[in-house]
Amino acid sequence: MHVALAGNPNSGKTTLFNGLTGLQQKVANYAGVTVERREGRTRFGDRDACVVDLPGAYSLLAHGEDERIALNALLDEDFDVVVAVVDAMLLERGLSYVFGLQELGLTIVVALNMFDELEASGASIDIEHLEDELCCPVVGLSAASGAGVDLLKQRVAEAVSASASRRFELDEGYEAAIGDVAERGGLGDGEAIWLIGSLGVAGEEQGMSSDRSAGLHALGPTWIQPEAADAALAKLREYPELPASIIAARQDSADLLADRVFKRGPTRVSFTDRVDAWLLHPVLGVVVFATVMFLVFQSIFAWSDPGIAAIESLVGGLQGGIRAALGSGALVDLLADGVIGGVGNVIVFVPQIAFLFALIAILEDSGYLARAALLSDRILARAGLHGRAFVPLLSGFACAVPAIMATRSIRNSRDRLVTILVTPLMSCSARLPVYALMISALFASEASVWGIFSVGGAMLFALYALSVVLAIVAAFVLKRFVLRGPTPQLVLELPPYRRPQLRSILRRVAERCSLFIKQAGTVILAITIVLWALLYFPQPNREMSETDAVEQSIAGTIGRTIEPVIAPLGYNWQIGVGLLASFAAREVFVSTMALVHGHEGEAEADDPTLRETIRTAKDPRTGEPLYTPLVGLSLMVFFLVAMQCMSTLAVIRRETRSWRWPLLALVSMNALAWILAFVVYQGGRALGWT
Amino acid sequence: MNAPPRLTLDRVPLGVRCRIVEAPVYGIRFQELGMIPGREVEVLRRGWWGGALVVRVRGARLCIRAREAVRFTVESA
Repeated sequence: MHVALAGNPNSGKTTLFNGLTGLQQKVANYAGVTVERREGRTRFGDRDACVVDLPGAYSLLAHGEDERIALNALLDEDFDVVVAVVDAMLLERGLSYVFGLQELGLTIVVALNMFDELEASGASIDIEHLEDELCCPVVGLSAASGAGVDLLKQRVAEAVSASASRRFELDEGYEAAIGDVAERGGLGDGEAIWLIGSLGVAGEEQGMSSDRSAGLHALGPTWIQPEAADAALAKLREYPELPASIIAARQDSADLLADRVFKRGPTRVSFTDRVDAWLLHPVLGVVVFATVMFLVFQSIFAWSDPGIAAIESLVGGLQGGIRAALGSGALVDLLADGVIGGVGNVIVFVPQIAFLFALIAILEDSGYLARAALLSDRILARAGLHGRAFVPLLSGFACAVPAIMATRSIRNSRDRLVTILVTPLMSCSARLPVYALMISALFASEASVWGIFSVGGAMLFALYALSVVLAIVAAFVLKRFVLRGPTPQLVLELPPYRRPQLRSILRRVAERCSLFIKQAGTVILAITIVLWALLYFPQPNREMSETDAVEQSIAGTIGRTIEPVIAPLGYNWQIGVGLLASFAAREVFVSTMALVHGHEGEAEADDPTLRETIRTAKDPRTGEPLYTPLVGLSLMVFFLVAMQCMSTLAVIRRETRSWRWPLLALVSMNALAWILAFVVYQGGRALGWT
Repeated sequence: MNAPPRLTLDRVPLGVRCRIVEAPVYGIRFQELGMIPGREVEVLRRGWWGGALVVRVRGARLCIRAREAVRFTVESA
């Protein structure tokens, strides 16, 4: 069996998909989380089935890349059953979508999700009546708790034929127009209605031109004949209001049906409305938003310290144990400094990564993130960013790769491109280890501000805030000078507040931490071993000090070669080696620093941690500290802006289908990183800072 | 009998329910979400500095910019 899960955004399709297939795809409490199709396997009765989870859409008219993916699957793939997932609390809107599916003659089973919430509110839906009216199976369920999912499986296994096609009625002139398009294009009425609506959307995006090929290109299915498109475009020119009339008629039918089967609960101010009165208050809401974000970064710094100390101690113990057991020599150095030291100094940041993702997950699942989008919209609109840009930008705090994919929900290609290009400026989790190392090594990170906040947390907040400011400024510049266009519209749905599920949060944290550890155990380990070799060879002669030996090594030679370029930023050749290595993965910078300084003979068995090593490192020639707070600041600004991620460049190439944009990102971001780091370092020196 | 006064959606006071009487022909996304003539809308929240509005339509809470709300003419429900 081939079964699709389709429906409105945030109706719980992916939660149901996870429940049916046992997979663990990301879910959250806002619209637009799923932007690609996903497949999994399950059994419906005694039938083996492939289940496809599709991105959400408000209708079968595709406005963005994510909706196009859903639409193309529904129109081009031969699904045995389409499970229309409907939020039971938003029955009218869900029924409009169901009618659209029925107009196309698809076999449907309606899943009324969040039925438990509906019942808790005191409302009810007459399912039998609804089944009679829709002429298809209807199941009330809760995908989150699993209640009703077995019944859904049974009804899907039984559903073998298309439900009766349902159709609203329009004015005579419009009906004649639809009939004409259907006849000339060799289509059914439902397909003609869909084609008219889709060309209406394409017309909004590209201007209502007579260009048939542009209109057809915007549509997905290959079965549309040019004659049909010609006929639909001609009718659209004659009746520009036709798509709106179709939508209104379909909604009226849905509302009438909902009125017959939906019994509302007692009228009262909902929990969401009561909370929104505070959180969306014009003044208080902004204060709460800023406070929440500040507390997120405070807690990342303050709460993760015990975990970091424990891992540091474990890594130090392992290094000491290896040296004690195996003595000295190249192989022991490789194991202790290269493998354990290199990887261990990256893994040490797992607690901070875990806190970052746990806090983001709580904000996502509670429904607060969509509110944050509303609160920040005034600024995003000024920069010319699309209202839906908030979600990709915020996802960029975790990783730019899924964040760039999340821009698929933005329909206008120019607006989407702007969001793609500025998303890598959002400070991703790979930068966190570098910030954490620099802040804890070079600043009084534990000291408190006003007795409440730590300096480390405040600095981290400032860095993330700076990344947001830079992204907004970059968007403004791009929209003003490169990708000019009007400020796009905002239509964003605010979900009800829901209690975050601990299991879901822990699962996401575990997933991200395991990805981080996997990266440390593969890419970072491999690069660290190569770097170790580059720092170890050629072997020094007996008279040479260890510091000179590292400087004369292959890596040292490379570092010294680029030193003139980075010296104006306050960086020595050791940092240069770290910068070069971090172009493979940002986190490698930390392990490189451990290697570079470990080779200088300071990382023995009972040696201080990397943070202390960085703090106390001295220039052997001058005796001056190698790393000062100003150098640390310059370095963090460089990392904040620089494009050092191959995966991000690859995903920009894939999503834009061009090399031009990833190259622009690579060159412009790295040039900007150099300039800003230069300004910070030289400006700081001019002000007498160290 | 006097017709109910008309105003644009961005000027509707908080908590007041109104009915859409005119909506832009283009703006299919708005229409899909229920922002069409005849539909009842309630303004729930207003953003800072004249930013976005939160309206309830067909049971859902939608966030739209004030500059787009201007395009909808409404009358009291």
